[in-house]
Parts: sequence; structure tokens; C-alpha cells
Amino acid sequence: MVILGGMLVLSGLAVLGTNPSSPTGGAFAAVLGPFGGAVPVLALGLLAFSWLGVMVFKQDGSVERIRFLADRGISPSVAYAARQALPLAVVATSLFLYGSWLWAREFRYGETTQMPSLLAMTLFSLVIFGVSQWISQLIRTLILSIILAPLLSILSVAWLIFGYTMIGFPIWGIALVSLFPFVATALLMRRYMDATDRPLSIWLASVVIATMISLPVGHAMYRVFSTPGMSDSQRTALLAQGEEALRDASAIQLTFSWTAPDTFGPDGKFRTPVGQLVQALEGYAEEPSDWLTEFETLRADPSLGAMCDPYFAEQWQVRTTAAKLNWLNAEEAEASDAFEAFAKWVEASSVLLPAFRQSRRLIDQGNADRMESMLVELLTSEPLQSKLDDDRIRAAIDSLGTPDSRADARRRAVLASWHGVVTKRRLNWLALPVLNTVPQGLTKWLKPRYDESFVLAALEGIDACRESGADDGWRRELHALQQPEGVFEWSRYGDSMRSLPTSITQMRYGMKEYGELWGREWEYRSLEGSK
Amino acid sequence: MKIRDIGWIVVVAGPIAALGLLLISSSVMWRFNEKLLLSELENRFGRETATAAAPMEVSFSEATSTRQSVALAEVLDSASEMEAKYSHVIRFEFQTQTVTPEDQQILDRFLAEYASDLGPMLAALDAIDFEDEPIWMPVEHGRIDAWAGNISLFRTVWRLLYTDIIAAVANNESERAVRSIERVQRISHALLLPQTPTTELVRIQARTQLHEALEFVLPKGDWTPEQLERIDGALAERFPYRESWQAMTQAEQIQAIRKLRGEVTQETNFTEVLQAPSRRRNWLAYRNELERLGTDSPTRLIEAVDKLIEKQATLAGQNRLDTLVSFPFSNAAPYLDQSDNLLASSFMNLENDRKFYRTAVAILRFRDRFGEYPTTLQSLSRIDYPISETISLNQWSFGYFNRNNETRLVIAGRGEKWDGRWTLTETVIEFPPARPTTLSD
Repeated sequence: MVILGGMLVLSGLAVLGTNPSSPTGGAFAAVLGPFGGAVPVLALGLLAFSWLGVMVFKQDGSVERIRFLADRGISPSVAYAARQALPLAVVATSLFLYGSWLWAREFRYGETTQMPSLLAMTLFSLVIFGVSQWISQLIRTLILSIILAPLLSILSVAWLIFGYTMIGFPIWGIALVSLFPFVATALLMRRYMDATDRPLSIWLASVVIATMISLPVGHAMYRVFSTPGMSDSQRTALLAQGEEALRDASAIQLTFSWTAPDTFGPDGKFRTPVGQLVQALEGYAEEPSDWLTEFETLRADPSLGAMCDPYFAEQWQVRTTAAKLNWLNAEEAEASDAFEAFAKWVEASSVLLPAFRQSRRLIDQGNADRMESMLVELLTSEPLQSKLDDDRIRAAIDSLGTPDSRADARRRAVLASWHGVVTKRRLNWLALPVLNTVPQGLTKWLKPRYDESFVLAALEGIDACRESGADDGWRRELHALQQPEGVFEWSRYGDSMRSLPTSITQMRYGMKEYGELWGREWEYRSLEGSK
Repeated sequence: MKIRDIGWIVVVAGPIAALGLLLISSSVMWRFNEKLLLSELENRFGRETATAAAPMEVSFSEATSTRQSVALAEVLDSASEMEAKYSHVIRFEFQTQTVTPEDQQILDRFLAEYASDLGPMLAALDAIDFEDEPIWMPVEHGRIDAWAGNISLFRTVWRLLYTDIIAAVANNESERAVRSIERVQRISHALLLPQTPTTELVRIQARTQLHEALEFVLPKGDWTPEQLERIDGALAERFPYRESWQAMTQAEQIQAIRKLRGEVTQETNFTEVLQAPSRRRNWLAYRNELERLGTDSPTRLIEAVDKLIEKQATLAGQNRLDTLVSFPFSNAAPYLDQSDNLLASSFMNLENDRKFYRTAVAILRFRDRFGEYPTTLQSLSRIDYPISETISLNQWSFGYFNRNNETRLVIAGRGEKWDGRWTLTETVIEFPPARPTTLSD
């Protein structure tokens, strides 16, 4: 008892001492590491709790005393309470002091170490104490209890911490589990007093262990299985359609030429900063066909699909818009040259757009949506109306799809991309952000289900957008999966953002979500002379 | 029951009851503080904003103009295109790089090309009337934190204008340089609502960038007296410290309403922790106090922020009992940091720099007027330049040397306060030899 008291006092002092602003605390912190040094000393305290638990049934001579009580006819419940009371009081006092210290610490400036809260400490102390007293009743020899109790109680705590952080076991679950060992010892008290607890105690032990393990697991499984996915028949049918969509698809990967200059010239000599600058500027691709590799291949073969990183599609939009601005703000003498430069981007877009639509990757449909919405807004803007006879502008108008053709392309891509994920053949499916909000240990199990919900919501949205006036069910779903914890009404899936021109709602730097441009006003805008 | 038995029961049951009581009252306090926090939010920001799904949107949506946003988005696109093309010109270190005469010729050629390519973007920028309708791009609230995606692109605009000023002076087009100096001043003044810390930093950056350009071009440029007057006019205007500080500390609170309501948890090293309501109240009280500190003097602001940080832990009352039942950590002070201090010191640097470059302009104006540089900074009163502008906020006069045909203006004591210490830097402007005066006094 004295030794245990000493351990508690020591750990208490050490916790107090970890305040880095005090001189001794500084030394403690330096020795014990960056976590404020609190963890090792807290562990000392928890070890003391474990041995206090062992004392409940295995203190020196306690077996004889319990027999004595039993012989006197003392009821098991009174004996049980009497055995538990003192060690529990010591634990409660320590926790009370710990809590008061935490509370006082709240008002000190400059404290930055994270400490377990009183609630956390109480729960875990309860688990440690409970498991230890249970071991001490279960196991007949003192020395074995002293060794086994800390090990098993730490194992239980570790399991519950794993359950909380990795598979989402709730706090009330931990509280529930912490009571099981107490229930077990209470149930067995009468038999224990009569020394007839075996073999029932062994059976009960298995039940307790099984429950402690299965509760967190069961909770996690419930969470996984209650997440909606597809029915088996749906899955089979849609996968078959996905495979079908992949069958005769061919697409080439597009890259864009970069202008990063070499530090060393062709003669092996170091380039001066001015030399690097000259090289960068002279190598800068002014025209779309220079900027884009494989552009002529695409032009020559309209059946080819194109794949590219969304970042480049974004840059394409930036350069086209910049060319338009240059044209509209050019001085009069340069206006026609500036229009020529702009028209090249528009014409090149008319080659790229159908190629993106050919691609079976969902991100390329996003690229196509970005490009097509830009073209629609551009071609219906006022300054372009006098240029509609220009061949290159015509070509762009001709390249635009219809709501139905777009829906077909999107549907193919959703199914084909998903098929690629399921069969692990392609890796272009971006992880849905909702996965970041679920416990880490469950992501692997939840991912296929979330993917399936996404596919279903996307297909619903695609079909709804064949005609305007779609309901917002699919949008809410896409929002929830891709922007968890955000506010739907004011997101890019909500009516407010969707009613704005697409050029100002698409955020930069590759932050984009699937389906954000579907069914917006641009899809149904009629262009003079378009298909 | 004997007294001894009762004594035992008290000894044994007392601590357990006390622990139970502590936990229960802590949970009660959690509820209590939660209610208090909600009513504090309502009192402060009004019911509509305090309870809105997207509080920032309620506060600022009327500031969004679609027409202006579209125009501005096009300018920003054009700016990124310019930046991509001329990235090496923009990043060229004109101040420090020594260049051979041949390289200088090449550089001049590209700077001229840069100027003509930038023309359309500047024309489009000038066509936007910042006084007409407030400009703000739509903010997306689909994510946990509202996302105003394209704010950072303004930094590109500042950088382009910086290069334009330098290119203009290199090309002896001082009128063009002055126009861009005025442009930075005008846009940084009128742009950007709502004033969150992010947008205000972008605004401050505009001026910092302008000052950096001035360090390079002031001694080199061939300025007419009228142009110097105009540069002086641009620099005479102080950054609106009080308004800016108040607006951004308030916007910060509105931005945080969802977190304060407990809808969004805070990531820690291990897991997510829902902060106890009392800690959230404490944060709100601290921001409230910060907002009230608004003063026109950045130095007084720094002192006040320092004092407030010291007493932050005890703001918003003593009932912090609820922290005991947060889970799994009772987080100590994640809200405390030095950034408010840093922001206040960036105000101070900005104001010191403004005075410094304005003084440099005054020295040039003096030279234009009298054909020689002033002997001391006090002589600047002869051109009606206020002497208070030659003294930094730290109450040090700028260093000024005018001997043996060497004229220098030095600012020391700029710096940043970080971790309680100041790091100091100094900037020197060396003026060209005085030329014979064209105007007689």
C-alpha cells in the first residue's frame, strides 16, 4: 500500500513538474521528451491503479479474511463492497486531484501540452482497475496476478483506444465495456467466497473477453453495413455496362510543354540569369498547337479520345480567357492580330472538346465540362456575335454537344471509371473526400460502398440533366460525398452558386468536384446555328 | 452503526462522490456554457448571422456583384497567363543582380516586350470601376472552411505591376511608372470585401510590393516635379489601420461561427477534439477584445495586443469546469499564438516604410526645387514636408547622410516581432549626384 501510494505521489509530482515554465519542470520536460513528458509518469500512476485493483482480492491474507466473512454469514454484496471500497477510494482521490489540477491549469498562460481530460482518465482508470480486480479474482496466485493484471489491463486500454481512434467506437461504448469486469466479479462473489467459482469463472471470463472484443468490432460492422451501396443485381448490371463502355475506347494522354529553362547551356556552361530568362521566353509556347503535345494527332483522327490532368484543362481555360481579354483590350492597330491569336485557341478547343468527351475517364468529362461551359459562355457573349461567320468560331460552335450527347458521354465515363476501380485496372478515380471524415480503420471497408453511392447519385444526376429542371436529390448526395461538413445551400451544388456564370464559380488550383457543372444553365443555352 | 463505521464510509464514499460530482457538474457546465455561447453570438452578430448555415454568406453576400466578378476574373486569368509567360522576368532580381552591358540590352528588349504584352490587361484593369459596386468573388461554403479560391491571384497582379514599374523606369518611361504606382495604390485601397485576415494581407502585400519597387526606381528614375508630386500623393495616404484591424478581427469571428457552434471539430495530433464551450467562449472573448483594440497607431496596437495575449487565458469568466469532460484531451491553449502580434507588427513596418519612401520622394523634390540635396532632414520643411514624416514609429529619425557628394537615406528598425524578439533589417537608398537645378527658387 505504501509503495503504491508512493508511486501515485511521485507521478502526481511529476505531472505538476512538467510545466515547462518552472525550472524543475523544464528539466523534466527535457528528459521526458516533447509530449510534455506526461505520458511516462501517467503510465506510472496507471500501473499503481492496476496493482490497487489486484489488492481487491489478492492482498496479503485477503483470501483467509474473505473465507472468515463467508463463515460468519456476511452477504456477498456487503463483502464485495467492502473489498472494493478502499482501493476505489484511492483511485477516486487521485483522479479528483488530477481533475482539479487540470482545471487550475486552464487559466495559466502559455501552457501548451495536451493532457488526457478527466473524463478520459476516469474511463481508462476504470478499465485498468476493473480488469485488474477481475484478474485478481480469476487467478489464484498473487504473484501471477501482479504480473498479468497490468499487462492485460494495458492491453484492454490499448484495444479501446484503438477502437475509439481507428474504428469509431463511441465514448459511451468505452464506459459500458469498463463495467463488464466489475459485473463479472460481482456475479461470482458468492461462489468466490465459497471457493466454488471454478469452472464457471473460466466460462464467464471467456464471455467477458468475447464481449469486450466484439462490441467495438460489431459497432464498426454495423456502421459499414448500414452505409448504402448497390444491390447485387444492380452491381452486376452496371459493371457489365462499365466493361462494355471500356471495350472500344482509345485515348491518348496529353501533356503540355513546360518552359523551365536549363541551368546549363548546350555547351555545358552555366547560363547567367539573363540567359535563363531568354531561354524561358524563347521557348514559351504561344500557340495552342505548340503548347499541347499530340495536338496534330488529335486533329487527324477525330475518333481518338484525350486524357489530361485537370490542372492543364484549367490552364487552357486561363489562356483562352487571357487571349480574349487581349483581343478586346488591344489597341486598334493590333486588334486583328489579337483576334487571330484568340481564334486559334477557340479553334483548338473545338478539336479538344470532342476528344475529351471520347475519354472514359470521369476526370476528362470534368475537363470537357469545363471547356464546353467556357465555350458556350464565350460564344454567346456580346463581342463574339459579330464574329460568328469566322470559320474557326463556326468550328467551335459545331463541336458543342447536346444535353443528351453529354449525358451519354458522362454515363459511359462514370461506369467505365468505376469498373476500372473495382477491377483495379485503372487508378484515375479520385478518393471521395467523405473518406477523410470516417475513422481510419474503416476507410477500406467503406470506400467501395461510398463509391457505389457516388455512382448511383451520379447516374441519377446525369439522367436528370438530360432535361433541365432536375430535382436536387443527386446534388445533395454528390455534395455530401465530396464536400462533407460543408453547407450544401452555399456550395457549388446549391442553387445560389449554380445560378452564377461558370467562369466565376470554378475555383483554382485543381480544387474541383465531380458533376459541379452538370445541369447548369449553360447546358441548355441555345446558340445560333448550333446542332 | 458506530461512529467508526460512519467515519469509514465517509472516507471511502467521499472521494468517489466527489469525483462523481466533479464530472457531473462539469457536464452541466458544458450545457450551460453552450447556451451562453449561443446567446453571446446572437447578441454580437444578430440572430440571423449567428444561426445561419453559412454565417459569412449572410454577412457579405450583398457585397457580391456578378458583373464585376466576371470582369475581375478575366483580369486575373490574364494576370496568371502573364505570370506564366514572364515568370523569369518577374522573378529577376533587379536590385541585386549585376548584368553585363550586352545582357542589359537583352533584358531591356524583353522588358519592352513585357510592357506591350501587359497593356491589354492594364486597360481591362483600369476599366473596372472599383467605386461603383463592391467587388467580391463568390465564396464557396461547400467545405468546412469557406473557400474564396482566387484571392491569392491578386498577388500575381501586384507582382506584375511591380515589374511594370521597374520596366518602365528601365525604359525611361517615368509617366508609365507613375501610372502603375497610382494604380497599386488605388486598387489596393478599393478592392476586396469582406476584409478577412487573408484579404487584408493581400492588400498589405500590394503596398509592400510597391515600396520594394520604389527602393529600386526612385534613385534611377528621371522624374519630373509633377510626377514626384503624384508619387508623394500616393504615399501620403496612410493604410486604414483602424478600419482594417477591426474589419478583419470581426470577419475572423464570423468565419469561426460554425466552429464556435460546435458543428466542426478541431483536428489535433491524434484525433478530433470538440473544444469545450468555455474554451470557445474564451476564444470569442479574446477576438472581441482584439477587435476593440483598433487604433490608428500600429505601435500602440502592438503593445495592446501583447498585453491582451498575457491576460487571454482568464477572459470570459472563470467557469472553465467543462473542459474536464472534453474527450480525449483537455486541450491546453491551442488558441494562443503569435500571429496577432505578427499582423500588428506588419502594420508597423508598413507605416514605417510608407514614411521612409515618402521622405525619399521629398528629398528628390527638394533637389528639384533647390538644385542640391537637403543638408539635414529638417531642411525638408522648406518644401512644406511635415517633419513628423521623417521619424519612424519607433521614434527614431531615419538615417540621412549628405557628405562628399554621397547622399543616402537609411531606415533601420524595421522588423518583425516573433517569439518575443525583434529581428531588424535595414534599407538604404543611395541618391544620384545632384544635377544643376532647372528651376530657380
